Amino acid sequence: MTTKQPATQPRRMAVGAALRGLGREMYYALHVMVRPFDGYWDLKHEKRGSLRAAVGLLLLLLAVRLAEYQFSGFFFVTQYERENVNILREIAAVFLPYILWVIASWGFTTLLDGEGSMRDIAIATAYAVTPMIIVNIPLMLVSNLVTLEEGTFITVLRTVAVVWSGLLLFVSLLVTHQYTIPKAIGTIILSLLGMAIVIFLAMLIVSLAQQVITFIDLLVREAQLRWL
Amino acid sequence: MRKSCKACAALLLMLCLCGSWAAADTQGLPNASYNHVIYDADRISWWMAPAAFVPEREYDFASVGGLKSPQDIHVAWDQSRVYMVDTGNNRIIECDIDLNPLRTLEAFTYGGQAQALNAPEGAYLDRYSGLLYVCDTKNHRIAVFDEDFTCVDIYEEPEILLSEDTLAFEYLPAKVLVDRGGRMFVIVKALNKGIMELDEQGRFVGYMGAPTVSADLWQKFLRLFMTAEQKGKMEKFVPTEFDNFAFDDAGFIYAASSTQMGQLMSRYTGDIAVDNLAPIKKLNPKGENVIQYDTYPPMGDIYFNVLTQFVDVVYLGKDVFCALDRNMGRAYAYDGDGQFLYMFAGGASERQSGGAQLGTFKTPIAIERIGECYFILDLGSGSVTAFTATDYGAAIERSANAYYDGDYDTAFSQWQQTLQMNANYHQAIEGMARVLLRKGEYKEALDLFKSIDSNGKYASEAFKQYRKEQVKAASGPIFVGLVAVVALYLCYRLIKGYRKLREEARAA
Repeated sequence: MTTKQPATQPRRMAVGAALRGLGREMYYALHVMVRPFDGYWDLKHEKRGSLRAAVGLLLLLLAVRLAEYQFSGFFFVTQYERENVNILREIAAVFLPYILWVIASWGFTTLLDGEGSMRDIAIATAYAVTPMIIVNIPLMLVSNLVTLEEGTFITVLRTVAVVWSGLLLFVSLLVTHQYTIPKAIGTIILSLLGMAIVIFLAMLIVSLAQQVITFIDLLVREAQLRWL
Repeated sequence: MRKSCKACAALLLMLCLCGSWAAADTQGLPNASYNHVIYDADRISWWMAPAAFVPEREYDFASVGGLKSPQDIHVAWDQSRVYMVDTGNNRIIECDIDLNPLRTLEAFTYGGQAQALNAPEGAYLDRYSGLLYVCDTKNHRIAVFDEDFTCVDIYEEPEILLSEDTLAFEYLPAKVLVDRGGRMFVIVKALNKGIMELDEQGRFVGYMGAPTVSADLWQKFLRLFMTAEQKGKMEKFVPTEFDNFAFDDAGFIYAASSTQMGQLMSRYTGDIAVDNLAPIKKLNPKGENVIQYDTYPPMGDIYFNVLTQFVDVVYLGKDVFCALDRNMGRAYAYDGDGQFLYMFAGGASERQSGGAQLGTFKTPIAIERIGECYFILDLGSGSVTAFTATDYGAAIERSANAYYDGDYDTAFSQWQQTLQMNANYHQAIEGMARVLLRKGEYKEALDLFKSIDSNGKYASEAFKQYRKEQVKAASGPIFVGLVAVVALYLCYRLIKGYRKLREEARAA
């Protein structure tokens, strides 16, 4: 009993400190959002962000997406969509493009002498989604008060959030890798191409694996019919 | 154990459902009736429904030797006579409204010469002049007859076609309408520029009904880099061939186009203006499509794999119209808001074995309405089938008509009655909601809209009005509250100032 007491105390403190750290790191996303050049510089060099915060931000985005299904106005989400949310699909919709982008971007920036590590890219990319989280929460609430015609404003503001995020991603390339603007644009195009190639290869592997499995299955059945 | 119990229960339930399915399938008719609702590009619900119209009898016209590939049936505006266009036998048969043949029009004299019709495909009795216009198709002309079938006029091929090199094809007028001023609207076979408009002397005026192409932003951007020649080659209208048309009471033309559907289907998920591609168009005198709809234009059957191709449309009055699908032999009725009302006739396997059984067709080509009866002309078998309304179909039409007349109480109760006959008839709930919206009961209307997941412009209007009510109701108390807060604050400042003054006075 007496030996246990001092052991738990520091652990609890450690958890508290970690949570506070995570909170601080995620709160820093707000700074990155409005002061991207300064923010991304410090994110990398002053270690103001972390991977756990990156995952936290993506989870927040996922939460907002799921919340949108339940709490958006009647004219934006139908009852049918509300009742037929596929949570796995939503998870894939958030994390799959992210992972693909990080891998493809890392591949090309490494080749094109970018200065960022994969960790830097992973953090910077996740911090770029902040506008989509921040803007969409009020939009979701307001969408309960607007009619179909006024819904155009919601759509426009949603697009603004996406464009904002895209700009942040662009700035993150500039700052993290010390790129010039043309080089950053080129890298973005190459990364998108890289993502497409990865998807293509993945689909190829799946389809080939299916054929191999079918082939083995046929062999086994043939053998069964012949000898059993 | 529990699992197997559940499985058994599920199986039993499925069997029950299958049973009721089989029972609901045809109701002893050769074809199944169903109801569908289009919510979204990728979400269409459909349910079995009671039959709205049932086949009653078939007319084979044996007394005049039968019909041979008839192309059209035309009912006079006052429903006094019916004209059968017996294309294969080169004649027009005038019948009374029970389809008993009275006279035939085959040969006639014009300009002192003996003439004969050659494969006529359309006829129209002009309500203003009382003249019968016949599309003498293979003779490339429109012939006009008076009451005694004496030819009074013949309109040959209009000039413009001969001079315009892009139209180097045979002039085959197939259908004609004549408006109050004697202007003719002609559907010419294989003409994809729309409906040809001729003036009262048969001179070419122009084309109408083919929607113009509206360029999107990307196309406008591309045009910046185009040469004049390239711009000239860009299509200015959506190629549109019409099959048949009809006037409504106000002089608008309802026109059916069987070629539009494929384009619509391939593009209706995008954000292009779908009404450009609507297979049924309601054309105003300028040739613009003014058909009303909530989310998607009337497009018939989109559940089954065979595309709907509307070949004919009939106007029933009070903005209700019914269109005939060539491929499945089904007819679809819509109200003035473009809402699907009911379907009848046809059936899934009719393309293979159609025409053998009453109420099925080989090649349905034209639809007309006389009183409470539909008449569908089958080109393949040369016969006309009459369909009469069931209680269900009649209730739907009563509701739609009452709504059009502004008799909202009747409309509401009629929709309720319809709903009792078919609980899956979402249109009844939609109709009731629209009635409530018109009557100003916005909250109730909105609840009904929500109950069927209908979030189009009508629901939006109900919400808008409801919101206005709520804001109005809340604005009074909020205003009073604000005034009270300001008044209290002023009192506070007053008292404070008074005390300060008093203290200063006391100090002094």
